[in-house]
Formats: sequence, structure tokens, C-alpha cells
Amino acid sequence: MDPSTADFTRQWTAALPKVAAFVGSMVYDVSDRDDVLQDCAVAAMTSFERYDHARPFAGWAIGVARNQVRLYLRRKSSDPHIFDDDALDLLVDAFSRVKPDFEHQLTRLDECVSRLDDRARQICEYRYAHDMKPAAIAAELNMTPNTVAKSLQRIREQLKTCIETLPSIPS
Amino acid sequence: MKASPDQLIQGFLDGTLSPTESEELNKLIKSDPAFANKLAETAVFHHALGTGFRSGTLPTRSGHPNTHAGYPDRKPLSTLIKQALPWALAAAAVIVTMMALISKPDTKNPPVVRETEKHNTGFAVLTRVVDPQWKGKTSPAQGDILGSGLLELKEGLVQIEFFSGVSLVVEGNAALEIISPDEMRLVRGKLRAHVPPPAIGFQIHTARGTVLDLGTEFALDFSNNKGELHVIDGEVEWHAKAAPEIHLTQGSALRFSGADTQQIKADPKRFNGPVELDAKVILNQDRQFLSWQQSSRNLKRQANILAYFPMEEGSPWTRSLSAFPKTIAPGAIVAAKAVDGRWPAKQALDFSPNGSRVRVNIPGQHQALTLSTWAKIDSLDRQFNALFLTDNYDLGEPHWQLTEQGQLFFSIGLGKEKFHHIFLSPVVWDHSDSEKWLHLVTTYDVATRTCSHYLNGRIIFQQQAPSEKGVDALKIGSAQIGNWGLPTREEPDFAVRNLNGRLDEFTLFKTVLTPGEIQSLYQAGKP
Repeated sequence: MDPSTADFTRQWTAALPKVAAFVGSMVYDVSDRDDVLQDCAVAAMTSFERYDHARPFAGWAIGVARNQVRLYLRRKSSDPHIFDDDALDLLVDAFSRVKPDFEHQLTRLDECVSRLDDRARQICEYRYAHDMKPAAIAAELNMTPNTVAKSLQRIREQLKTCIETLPSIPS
Repeated sequence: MKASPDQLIQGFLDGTLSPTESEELNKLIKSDPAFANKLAETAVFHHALGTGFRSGTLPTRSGHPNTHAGYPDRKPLSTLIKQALPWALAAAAVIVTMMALISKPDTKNPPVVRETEKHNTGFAVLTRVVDPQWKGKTSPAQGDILGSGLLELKEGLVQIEFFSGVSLVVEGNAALEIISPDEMRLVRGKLRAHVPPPAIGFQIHTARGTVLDLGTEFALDFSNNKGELHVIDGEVEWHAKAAPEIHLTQGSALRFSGADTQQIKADPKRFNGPVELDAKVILNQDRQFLSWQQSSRNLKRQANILAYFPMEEGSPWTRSLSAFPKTIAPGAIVAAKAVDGRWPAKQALDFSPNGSRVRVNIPGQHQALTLSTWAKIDSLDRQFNALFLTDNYDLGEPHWQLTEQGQLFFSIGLGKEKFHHIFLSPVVWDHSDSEKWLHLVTTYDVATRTCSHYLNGRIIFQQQAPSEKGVDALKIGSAQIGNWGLPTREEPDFAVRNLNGRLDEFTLFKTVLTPGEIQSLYQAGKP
């Protein structure tokens, strides 16, 4: 691998959680997310020489991703365009500002997930492992969609508190 | 009832927002930067949960990854927007690879008398692969030399580099036959070919005729009973069967249907090239790397770990190497260089500089031992090439190394009176492996005097030592990763055993891992 590609790969890997979360938030169709993310990688790679190394890479990469997301949304009229252009720009900045500390805390998720009670864990698995929406989970568990939505909110808050307070895993 | 800001974020993540709520969400993003930040942070959190569960790095109640859920969903590349392709980048690196790979003995059998010069057969190298699924007898791996014969790629994307300099990106489902460095046959499927000036004259035969390249980039699509030839750059000649040749230049294309041949416009975007392949490779590496990080975190907490050196120190390197559990002192790095590991974002140690080693101290006596490491070896030019050796070689002290012939060599010191028993594996490395990361594992059980060697998750050797060659316990104490021998004032000379290559992650377990556990270790760590 030549030095520039290696440099790109290193930076891209570090920025990936943010870039992927940004793309995942903007592209509702799960089956399209990987393609859009790949378009972002291609676009970032081909324009890497224009990246100003004095600026944070993640912010730049999310900016590149925004253009790809826009192209995608233009192509795909069925996607529920949640954000208008101004909101999208503001979100690019907001995603770039997510702190590395928080990303580090995410490494404790496995410990926190294993502390959830059975019911919470089941809902979590339906939502995340099987990508089911609250209405589908509700049907499966004989609950109302509203109760599922509230449970999910509670579970996420519980997990977030857990990763923020759990003692740091040595690294 | 109006949704609270928090509920709007949750509704957004779960896809349950009404149009009015979406509007409200947009308004809040614009009026309150703290809200936008919270949304972004929660989305990153939400995404981590999704990828964690789908990849199996987050624990499910059944304890198994949700493989059926897919991670992430992969779609055919044909849906991608293709972009302009700078081929030059990829081509340069390949010559080097080719030179390194050119001499490959055909099998990994026990050693034979070394020839004066190594030879190999083949016309091309499989340089990069993305999720390939092969059909039929041949299923080559990345870095393998390809000889003549039919290759059937059911799925995935691969790059093949001919020794003539031609570079192909082939998309599954495809079948092709390599004939020589200048000639091949496309039976079915899609490919994109770049032919640099030294390889002008390269030919691809198809059912409808032959493309003769005049220095260019072109693509062929012979899938779904159709046939198309697209000239992306430069020029080609099309020699149809029983028809006059056609000269085609950049931007033009031919479509063959039934008996007709029709001139159309070339459409480069329909074909994957090296840049798309790069992107795929990088995304694949990211997945593997993130999954390794999770498995490494689990390893640090595992009860049967005797000593674990993940080698993930950030740059700039201190000269100490973190060890787990924390009761083990960090290793001291001597001369070894910090280099790229299995992934560009992961470090490794290169032991080729003179005197390179990591000095460690591992106390205690043990009834069982598993040694595990990832190694990328440039050459085995010493008689013994160190992986892990105790400073001395007293009773019960293990030595783990590679022979000049490429075999794993494990032995235990039996004191001054007795000669040790050598557990020698079949050949695990030859020159064709110099670009590959190998997972090497050796286990030893004191009670049964049994040693097993593993290569890339599979057992390749098992043997029981005679009873007179047993020991009561294993002990390590002062030892070295990647080298052997500490010169003293009285004896300043030392054997040269430093490994000419790099190690990435080194683990000692105080149990004999099962074949299943070793396979999981391999799967979690493979690049």
C-alpha cells in the first residue's frame, strides 16, 4: 500500500464510526446504507489529496459524506427526506463535534448490554440485531408500539448512563 | 400531545416521526446547537448498537452473532455510482508484489533439500479480493499465483494482475481462463482491464470474438446471454469470428445480440475498477478491525490469560509494550520498530533491525500453555528464527521458533543432562507467504506431554513426547518475544535469531485451548 493510501486508510478507519453513524442517520433504507457508505469511501479516497491536513479528518469526511447523501436522496425519492439542506449542514458540524471520549465509552457497550434484564435485552435484540421497528416488536411481544418506543428510550438511556459511569476498561 | 425534544430524537432513530414532528426536529436543529449535538451523539450511540449486534460483537442471549441479520447488508456493486478511475496507483504496487511472489514451491510439504533457485509456475497474481466465492476446483486466496485453467468466481470482486502488467477487476458471477501472461478467455461475466504500454497486444477471447488491446482500458460484459465491449480509454481491435476486424476508440462500444453487432456509447460507470475495489477493501478491513478490537477487549478480561500483548500502542511509541493482566509488567521494546499491523490503523512490531526484541517477565509454574501470535515474515534466513524464547533454557523452559525451512519448532528445556524433544510442524511459511499475515498457535499439556501446532486456525500437527522427555511444570520467567540470547560481560557474542518480520499481538494462555477456541481466535483476528 502506498503511503498516501495507508494514511487515508488509517484516518478513515478512525473516522468511520462517525461517518457511518451520519450516513446511517440520513439514509433510512437499511439496504442502501452500505452502498452509500461505500460511495463515501470512494469519494473521500479520490479527493483525499484536497484534504487539508491541518483540519480534523472526521469533519472533512462527514462533509464528503453529506454530498454523497444528497446525491442519494436526490436519486431516491422514496426515502423520507427528514432533514432539509440547512439542517443537514448543521448536522455535519454536530457529528464532527462528537467527542472521542464518547466514542471510547462506546467500547463498554458489551458489558452494559450484558447487564440489561432479559426483557430489555430481548427488545434491544429485536431492534438492533434484527432491525425491527417498534410496531413490529410490539406485535411480536404483544405490547403496544407506544410501550415499545418508551421501553427503547428507557433502555438507551440506561445503556448511555452505564457506559458513562462504568469504570474504564484498561487499554 | 407535543413530543419533547428527547422524544423527537428517539422517534427519529426508530423511524416513527410524523411529518409535523420531522418539521419540529428540523426547527430545533436550526435553533439549538446543543440539540443538534445531542442528536448526533445519540445517533452515533444508536449506530454502535446496530453494528455491534449485527456483527456479533455485542452479546445476544443465545450467545451467537446474528449472522442471518447480515453485517451490514451487502448489495451488488452494480448499484454503485462509478467514478473516474486512476489506475496508476494500484499498478505500481503490484510489480513489487509480483517480484516477491514469483518463487513459490507448489506444496507445503515437509522440507526438501534446498534448491539453488526457487521456481514457480503461473502467469498472474490474485492481488486483491472482496468477499470472493469460488466455484469448482480452484479457490485461490489473495496473494496466490494463478496458472492456466478455469476460474469460476460465483460472487465478489477480485483483482488479477498478469505478469505482463495487465490488471483486471473481475465481478462475480464470472468464469475465465488464463492462458498466458498475454492471453485469456472470458467465458462469462464482467471485467474491466487496464493494459499499460508494456503489455500492448493483450488478448481476451470470448464466444463472439477476440479483443486485441492496443494500449488502453476497456471493459467486457458477457453476462446474461449478452455481450458488450466498452472502450474506456485508448483503442482496441475487435476480431469477430468470421467477420472483418473493427477498430474502436475511446468512448465507443459494441453490443452483440443474436447475429447482430451494434455500435453504442461506452458507459464506464457500469464497471467496477480499482478505486471501487479499494473502497470495498477498506470498508472490509474496517469491519474486521472493529471486530478485532472488541474481541481483544474480551481477551483482556479472560481468566485463562497468562500474558497478553495486544500491541495497540498509539503513536508515538513509548518503548514499553502494554501487558494484560495488569499483574504482568509491560514488555521492554529493544530496537524493534513500530510498523503497520494487520490493519493500517493497528500497530505491529518489526523485529528485523539488529538486536530487536521485547523483554518480558512472566512468573509462575504452569501445567499447560498456549502460545499465539500473528506473524508476517519477510524471510527465514537464520537457522532458528525466534518467536518466543526464555532467556535461558533450563528445565521446564519453553522455546518457540521457526526453522530455516519454515517449520514451527517447539521444545522444552530438560536441564543440562538431557537432550530436549523437538515438536516440529510441517512447513507453515515459504517465500510466497511473505505478504500474508499468518496465525501461529502452539499448545502444550504437561500431564500428557502433548504438543499441537496450528496454522490459521487449523491443527497441522500433534505429537506426544516419550515419557522420559516430560517435565513436572513449565516455567517462563525472563523471556523475549522475537529474539533470543542476552550477551553477558563474559560472553558478549550471541546467536542471531531475531525474526526477520513483524509480529502483531502475542498471547500466552495458561490452558490448552481447544481447536474450536483457536479457530475463533483466528476468525476474530484475521485481517
